[in-house]
Amino acid sequence: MTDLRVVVGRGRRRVTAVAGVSFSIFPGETLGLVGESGCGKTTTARAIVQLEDIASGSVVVDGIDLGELDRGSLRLLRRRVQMIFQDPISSLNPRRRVRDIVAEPLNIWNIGSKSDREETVVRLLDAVGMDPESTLDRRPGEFSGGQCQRISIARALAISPNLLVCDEIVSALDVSVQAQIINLLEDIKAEFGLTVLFIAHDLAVVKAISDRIAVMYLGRICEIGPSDTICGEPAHPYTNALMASAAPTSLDTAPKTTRLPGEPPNLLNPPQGCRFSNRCPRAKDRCHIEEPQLSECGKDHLVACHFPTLAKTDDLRS
Amino acid sequence: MTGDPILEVSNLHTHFSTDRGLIRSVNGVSLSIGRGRTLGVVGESGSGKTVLARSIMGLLPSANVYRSGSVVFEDVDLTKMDPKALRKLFGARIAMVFQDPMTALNPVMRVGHQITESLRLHLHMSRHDARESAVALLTQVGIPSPEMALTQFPGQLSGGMRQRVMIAVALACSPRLLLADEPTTGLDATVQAQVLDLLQDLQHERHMAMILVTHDIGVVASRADVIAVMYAGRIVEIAPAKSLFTAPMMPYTYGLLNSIPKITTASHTRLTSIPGRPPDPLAVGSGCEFAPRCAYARDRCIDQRPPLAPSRTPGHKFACWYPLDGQKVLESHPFLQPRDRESKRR
Repeated sequence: MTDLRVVVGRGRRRVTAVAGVSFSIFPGETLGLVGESGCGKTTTARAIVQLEDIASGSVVVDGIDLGELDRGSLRLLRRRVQMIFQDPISSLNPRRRVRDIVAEPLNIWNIGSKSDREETVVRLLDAVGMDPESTLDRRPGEFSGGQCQRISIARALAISPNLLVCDEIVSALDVSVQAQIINLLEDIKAEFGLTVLFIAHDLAVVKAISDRIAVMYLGRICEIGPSDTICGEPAHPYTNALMASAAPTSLDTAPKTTRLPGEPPNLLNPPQGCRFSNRCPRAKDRCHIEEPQLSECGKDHLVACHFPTLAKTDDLRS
Repeated sequence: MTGDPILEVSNLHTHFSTDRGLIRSVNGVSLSIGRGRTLGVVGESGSGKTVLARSIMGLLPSANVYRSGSVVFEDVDLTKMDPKALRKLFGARIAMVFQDPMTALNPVMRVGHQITESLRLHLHMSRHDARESAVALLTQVGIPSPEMALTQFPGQLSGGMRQRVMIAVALACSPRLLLADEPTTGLDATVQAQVLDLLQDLQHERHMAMILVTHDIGVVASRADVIAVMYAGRIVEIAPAKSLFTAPMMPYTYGLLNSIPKITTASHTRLTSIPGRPPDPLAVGSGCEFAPRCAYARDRCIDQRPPLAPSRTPGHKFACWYPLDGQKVLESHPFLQPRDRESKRR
C-alpha cells in the first residue's frame, strides 16, 4: 500500500536541513529514524506530511508523487498520512474538550453522522487506554503528559490513516510512562494495520519498536538496515558511536576509546567530503574529499562510508 | 558509606504551600555522602529530586516554603546558617551544576568574567591570576580555544560547550562537594557521554564528592557508588550501585529498571511498564505511595507506610513490606545479562 520514497533537499535561509535523503517505508512496517538534534529528522517528517516545502526531490505515497498533486488532491491524500508531535500538551488545544479534539478530523472530513462520530471517539479513546466516560468532557490541561499523548494518538487514528508519523512522541515522558506508550503504539499498529515512521534521538527506544532503522547525521542518512543488524553489527562509525554513548546497559562504562570527539558541526557550513569526517575515528584523506554514497554492505543493509565495519571486523581501535 | 561523611542530610522535609494545598515535595529524606564519593539520585519528574538538591543548597525561595530537618556539611548545619555565611560557602566549598546552562549562566556577561568572579570573590585572586586560572579551567574542561572562549558570551557557544563552561564555573574554587542536577539532560547522546566522562575525571582528580541527580538511571549506573531511588518525595530504595541493579528489593525500582528499552534486546520485545502514574502531590495517604501502581501490593501496603529498612546486603535499604526476592529477579535482569555479549563485541 505505502511505498514512500523521499528525496528532499531544501534551502531556507540557505540552510539545507535535509540534503538528499532517500528511503522507503513498506506497508505494515515500522521504520525508525534516529539522530542527534539538528540532524534533520523532524524536517524529514514534516516534509512527508507536507508541512515543509520541498526544494527538490519527491515524496511518493502509494505510487502518487505528492509534489505533482494540486491542492485538492493533495488534501485528499493527507487523510492517509497523520502525524503525532513531540510535545503532547502544546499539540492539543487547551480550551477544547477531549471529545471535540478527537472528533475534529472526522468533522473536517465530514465522516459519518453525529452519533457515528461520537461512537468512533469513544471507541478510539478506549483503544488508547483512556476511560471514555471520564475523559470526554475534560480538557487537555487536566491530563498528564502521557495521557495527552494517548489523546493525540486517538486523534491521529480518527480518520484511519495508513501511515503514522511519530516525531519524538515519547521523549518528553517519564520512563515508566514511555514504556506504556511504546507498548500502546505496538498494539495500535497491529490493531489498525498501520505503517509507522518512528522518529527519536534515543537509539534504544527506536530499537525497541522498529523493524528497520535509518540513522541520520547532518541532513543525510548514513546507515539504514534491519534493527538487529544496525544495533548488532553497525557498519558506520557514527552508528557505532551512538551505540557506545547510549545509556550504558551494564554497570561498566563503555571504553572511552569509543567516545566521539567534538560536536555536530554547523549545518550552515557542513564539512567537505563525508559530513562525519571531522569527528570520525576512521577518517582518511579520501573521506575529506569525496562524499560517500549509500551502498549495500549486507542484506537490506546500506551504509554511506568509505571504510565501513564489515561484519565481524572491528577496526575502531586500530 | 565509608569514612566520615562530607554531607549528612537527616529527615529533610520541604513543603510548598500553594492555593491548592500543601505540596510535600520532599518528605523526610535522610542520606549521607562520603568524601570523594558519588551519590546518584534517580526519580521520575515530580519525585522531588530537584527540590531535594535545591533544598540541600537552600536555594528555594523563602516565601511559602517550609523546610525542616538538618543538612550538615563538614560539621556545620546549613539550615541554621545565615545567608551571609552561606554565600561564603557556596561556590567555594559547595558548588552546583544546573540542568539548563543557558538560564544558569548570565547571558550578558562574558564567559571569562563568570569564571573569574568566584575566584576573585572567594580566593581573593588578582585579576591577572584569576584570568590565568580561568584559562587553565577551560582547558581542563576540554574547551578547544580557551583564550577566545573567555571573551565570548554564553549564547555564542553550543549546548555542550555551555555545559562545560558551567562545570568550569562550578569547579573554579575546587569545591569539596558538587551537586549536579540533570547536568546532561538537554544534550545529544554523544555529547552527553563526553560531559559525564569529564565530570567523573575531574571528580577523581580533585577528590570531590558529587551528588548526581537524574531521571535517567543509565546515567548513574556506571558512575555512582551509591544510588538512591526517589518516589513521591521519599527515598524508597538506596543501595550500592551493584546491589541495586542486581537485586532491587522495591518493586518500583525493579519496574523502573525494566521499563527502559535496552539496545541489546531484540526489537518488538514487550517492555515492562508500570501502570498508572505518580501520585498527586497534594494527596496524603497513610500507606505506601507506590501501592496503587504496585503489582505486589496487599492491604497492609495501603494502610501502613513501610519504613526505609536495611536489607541483608550492607548499605542496602528499602521501603517495602513485601520486597522482591533478589535471586528471582536476577534471572531476567536486563542490566546484567547483555553485559557479556556486549563486552565480547567490543
